[in-house]
Amino acid sequence: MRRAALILGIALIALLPVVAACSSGTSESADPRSAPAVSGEFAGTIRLGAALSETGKYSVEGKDSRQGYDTWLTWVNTEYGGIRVGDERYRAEIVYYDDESDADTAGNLTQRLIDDDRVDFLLGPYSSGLTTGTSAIAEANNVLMVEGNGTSDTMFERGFQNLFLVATIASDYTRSGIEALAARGARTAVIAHEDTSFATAVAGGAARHLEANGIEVLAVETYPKDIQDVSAIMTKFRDLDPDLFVGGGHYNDAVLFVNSAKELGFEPGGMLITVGPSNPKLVEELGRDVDGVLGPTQWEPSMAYRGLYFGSAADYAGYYESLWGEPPVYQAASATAAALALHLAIEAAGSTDTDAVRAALRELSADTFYGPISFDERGVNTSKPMGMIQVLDGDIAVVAPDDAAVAQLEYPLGDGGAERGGSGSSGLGQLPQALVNGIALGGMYAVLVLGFSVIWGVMGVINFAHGEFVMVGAYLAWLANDLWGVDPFLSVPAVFLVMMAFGYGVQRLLVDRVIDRPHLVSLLVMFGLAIILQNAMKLIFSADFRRADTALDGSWRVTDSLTVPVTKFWILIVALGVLGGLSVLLSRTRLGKGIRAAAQNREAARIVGIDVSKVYVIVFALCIGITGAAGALVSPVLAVQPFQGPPLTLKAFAITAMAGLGSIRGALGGAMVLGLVEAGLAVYVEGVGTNLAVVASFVILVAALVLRPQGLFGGLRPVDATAA
Amino acid sequence: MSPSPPDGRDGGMSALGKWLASGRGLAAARVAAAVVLAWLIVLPLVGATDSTMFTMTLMFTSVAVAINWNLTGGFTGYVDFGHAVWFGLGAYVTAILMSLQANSLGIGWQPVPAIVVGAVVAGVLAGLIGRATMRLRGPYFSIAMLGTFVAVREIVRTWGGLTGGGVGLTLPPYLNRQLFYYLELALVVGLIALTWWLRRTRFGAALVAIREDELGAGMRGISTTRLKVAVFSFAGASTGLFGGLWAYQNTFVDPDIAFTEVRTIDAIMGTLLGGLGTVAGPVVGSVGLYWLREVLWANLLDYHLVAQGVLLILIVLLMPRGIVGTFDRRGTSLLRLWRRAPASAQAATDEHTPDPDTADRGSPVRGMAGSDAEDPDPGAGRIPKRTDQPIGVLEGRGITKRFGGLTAVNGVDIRVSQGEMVGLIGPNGSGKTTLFDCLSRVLRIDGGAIRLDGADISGLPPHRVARLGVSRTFQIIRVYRDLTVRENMELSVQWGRIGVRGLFGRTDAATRRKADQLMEFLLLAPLRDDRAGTLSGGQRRLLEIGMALMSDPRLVLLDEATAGVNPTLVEDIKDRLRAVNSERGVAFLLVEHNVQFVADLCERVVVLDAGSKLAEGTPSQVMDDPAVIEAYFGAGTEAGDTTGTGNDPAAGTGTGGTGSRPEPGAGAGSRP
Repeated sequence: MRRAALILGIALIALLPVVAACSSGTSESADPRSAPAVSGEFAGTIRLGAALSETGKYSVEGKDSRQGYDTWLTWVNTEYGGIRVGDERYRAEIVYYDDESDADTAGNLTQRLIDDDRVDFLLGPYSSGLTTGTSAIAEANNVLMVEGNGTSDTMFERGFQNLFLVATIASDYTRSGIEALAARGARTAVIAHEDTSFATAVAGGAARHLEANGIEVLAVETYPKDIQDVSAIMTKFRDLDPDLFVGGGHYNDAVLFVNSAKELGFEPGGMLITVGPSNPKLVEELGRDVDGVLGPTQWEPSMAYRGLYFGSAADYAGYYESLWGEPPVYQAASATAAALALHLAIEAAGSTDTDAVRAALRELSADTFYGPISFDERGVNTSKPMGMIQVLDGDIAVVAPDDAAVAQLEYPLGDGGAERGGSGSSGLGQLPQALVNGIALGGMYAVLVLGFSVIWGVMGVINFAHGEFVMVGAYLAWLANDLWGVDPFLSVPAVFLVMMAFGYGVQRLLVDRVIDRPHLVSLLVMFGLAIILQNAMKLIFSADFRRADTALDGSWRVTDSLTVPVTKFWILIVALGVLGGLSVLLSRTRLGKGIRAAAQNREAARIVGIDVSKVYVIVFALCIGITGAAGALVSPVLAVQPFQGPPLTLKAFAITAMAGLGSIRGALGGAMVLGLVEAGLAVYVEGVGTNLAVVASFVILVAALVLRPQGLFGGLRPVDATAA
Repeated sequence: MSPSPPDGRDGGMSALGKWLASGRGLAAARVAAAVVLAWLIVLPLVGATDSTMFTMTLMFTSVAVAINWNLTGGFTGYVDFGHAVWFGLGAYVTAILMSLQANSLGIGWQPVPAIVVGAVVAGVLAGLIGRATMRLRGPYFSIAMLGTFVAVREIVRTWGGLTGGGVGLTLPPYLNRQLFYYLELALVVGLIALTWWLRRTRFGAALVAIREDELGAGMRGISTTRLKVAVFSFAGASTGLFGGLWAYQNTFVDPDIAFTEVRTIDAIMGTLLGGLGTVAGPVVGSVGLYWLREVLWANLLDYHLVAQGVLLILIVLLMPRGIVGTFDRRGTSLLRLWRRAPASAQAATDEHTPDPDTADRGSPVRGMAGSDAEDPDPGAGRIPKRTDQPIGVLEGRGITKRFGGLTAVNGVDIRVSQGEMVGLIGPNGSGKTTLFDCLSRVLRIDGGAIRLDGADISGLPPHRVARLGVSRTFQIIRVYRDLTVRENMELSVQWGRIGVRGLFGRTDAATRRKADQLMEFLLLAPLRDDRAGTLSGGQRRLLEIGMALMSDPRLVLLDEATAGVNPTLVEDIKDRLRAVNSERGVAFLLVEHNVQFVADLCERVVVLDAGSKLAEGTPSQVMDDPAVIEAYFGAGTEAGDTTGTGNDPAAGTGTGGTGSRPEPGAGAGSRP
């Protein structure tokens, strides 16, 4: 019976995608809107190809890029009447593949476009990482690739002959902004950047432009991607009191920096964040907190550019919106511009021969809706400057360069320009803040890890989907916040109940079947569940980062160099409450005794009449409830997104390995140790401190396992220890 | 590849399965493999495009990584959740060396040496890290490797000066797809051949023994640490080699694409789908997974990732042996890896001091002795060499063992001389098994000394003690349940004599003969092709004794040889032991609850109580000792209520009739 139910359940889940695929149609078919409404006779077809991310982490930008390419395609075939080569008109065609945001796949598909689809030219994929690999294949096969969405400098230091970039290269992202800020009197700056190819290139360029404009760089900090907390970096920067903050790497980082600056009372004269501010979602998300923040942009519809084709930037935006029902983001405009540049070069060459078109690209000099396009010897468009926008009263306005500006740059903001008297920048001066940051982080970790530790300790199940349960809880809180404006702190009890029910279902459908099987089985089953939850949530909510708003935000300023973040303080209080409650439950109640008995010896507990299965159901549901509630708690602090789970699961491992299984005191102690170590490293190590803090948790994990496997704080004896 | 015996637990095989497992099916499978190989060889010559060859090399890479993962995950039972770390290391070392060309020193590394060095570095690091992490067992090892994977990736990211940090390194493009195609095809075929061959050597058998029962394997003379780390290191080097090749082809590495957990996940899923611990499993599974993705999921967009999760759960729950494993029973099942002990074994543990099982499994570290198992021998010169002389003397002096505050064995002197049969008895919790574990070096002693033929062996790892001619059996039977009786026997040879060359050879005729003789002698001959897991308790005892005798021991430590054995078999065991002792001069030290059994066999008996020696003498002397009677009475009345085991005080009087009692530990209520 149970087996039948299981098969039925899984078959239903397995059928879901099939049904969805049938209803949505396949993606391989050409988009109806891009089908040529043939005007006149075409002499032939020019075939272009692109690997783009329809799935995976770049699916949103991949879709924008594709819409950008298709905008050009629709226009060239229907409005323009085909590409003119000599006296003939050729129909344009683009072959797309989904590269799944994966480098190997993108490379493989590019090779397939060249060999099997015999494309004449290639258009770029989305992101520097994917462009780096695919352009090497294009180079080796002597096929031209024109692109607008892979801007890392390293790609253009390889001496490639076949790669052309219409967008501004990464190292020039901040140039126009810094020039404008220097002109307004900025004298000192700090830089923080994500340690990835693109962000490093942007920051390296920023450092050069700052120096060139006489602005002193006081500090440069790096941090790894998927970072969840930047308070250490902001603590250091606050004490340096710079005029300018330059930083970022991803959309999420922008959110973190703005929030963290507010929490810690860091108020520079200007904040230039490299990715994010030009995205209207950021304003939506952060409201007034983001006012005054600056950001570079490749292109905005309001820019004063105009060209022969598509007309002005605004005309292009109108055309784009008529096709796709949404305004273009700059990724789309860059894609259209890349295709347009190729188109112009083919016409100039009067041929589709690679060498001729390459020569024409080199010679190209055109004004377009996207700005001027002409390539240097690296293949980089150096004539289009980057724009800079500023968020002014909730609107995104271009403030630099002058010929594209629509509003006046506001600088300095608030009292940021006023000297606040150089406080001690290192040593003991930062200790109180480091301690506060560490304890706040530790409180968060404690409530996040608790359910994982108890499930492992009592049931011997390693919940590899732990982070995903946090994620689901966080989404529930965000949803309540978004739909009805419920404060996440208030939705915690409701989320707890819903997640308990969810935990009950998972226990009955899956965990109960594997509880008596070897650990590997439960580990892999939970891992499978994690994959399902991540991707299901992505399908439902998209991969966009979300954040719940709480009334308990801001900071308490104790002294000039010590602030207490309000949200994290309340998280710590609730966390202590949850820990205390669970502790009382385990030590004082009959149920608690049953749980502890079942944890120590499953068989013996059964023999003395404890219904172990019932205990397991209760424990699992309870722990998933707590885990989901923890997700709700941190939803104002950590970005809510489908893939936030795995790093949290790994942290849970690290803390549990350090602290011992199922011990509540251990969970708290381990979480505090990890929080303090991370905060300390991040504050006290120059430059790469935040990176080291991330490494630290994993070094601690391995070291704790190898050197002190029973944990530092004792705890329940795990089931597997007695009955492995 | 003989057909597998029927096995009730796995249910019957389908007709197709039977055919495939039969000789003809196997021949057909071989022909199919040859056809596929021939097709792969001619493919580029009949006009495959670069794109096809690129696709194939990506597939070869995932097959190779899965094969390597299977070496530790499948054969040895160490499930590595961070295997992709070796891929990334190989890729990075190759990229770093090759990009030195841009360096002002102008030391350009050619691709081939760079890739080879990358593989070597990955292998050496795997060896070093494996030494530390392979002390952990089951899930702890998996998680430690996952942590290692992330830590190494972040270190690579942070160490920007050398690795280019998050920006990564770019290599000169050189893409001869055909060259890579043939190179990787050759390497994959080589790897398959290597695992096929390895599976047939003693080395491969030893790896399986480690998977099945690591402590037991160590006790039978296999230097488990050395072998498992060696194979882990090899797998790391091999995956590193493919990492280097990939870096060269990709012309670009950064931390996120070189160290991607997808490679580990694919290796695990491919191997599980194909069959854990089989030679063909990872190949079949990886290729299957690849085509499944290409064909079935190509149009499902993000749903295919959901489907992948569903598939993983389905494989784990419904097909734990995988495709190949369903036919080739020499693989293992997920259900067997990291097995939880059966309830009965737990209940049978009636001593409150850790028995060898909990000593092994109570902590995440494999075996308490694991920590010093491979300590470099401090005074190698003094280490006794094995002789074929009958044992001189095993002598323990003042042996003391504490568990936290509890002193389980307190200054006990014990001695077994040449050809002697000595009994060790005592009430529950008196420390008998702990003393045994100390003598066989499963546990580290806290005080005293153990000497063999006058040489100190207190610091030797268990497998070294075994190689000196001291075998043992266990209170909770340790046989390799997934292997046949014959395989169990043949695995328990004198590992000390095999040497490196022997390790890579197959079981020789002499060993087979010896196994046959012993199986005959121990009445196991009719069961020789049955899997050990299917035997009855008594038959397993006999098998365990046979395994202990396979290494031509001079002294056997027998732990509860009669527990869980039916009375007629007890008589058989007694008879066989007596014969081994008199015909071969093998000495025995027996721990027993069945006092009559001891009285019948032994000329000398040692009585333990509360960790100390209470009495020593002939069976009748000891039984009449008032202190012994007191200990049994006292312990009996006290312990009887709490432990529920019936150690009848009457047993102490030795007045007969005890032989017919139910075995101790089997249940409560034998007290009158």
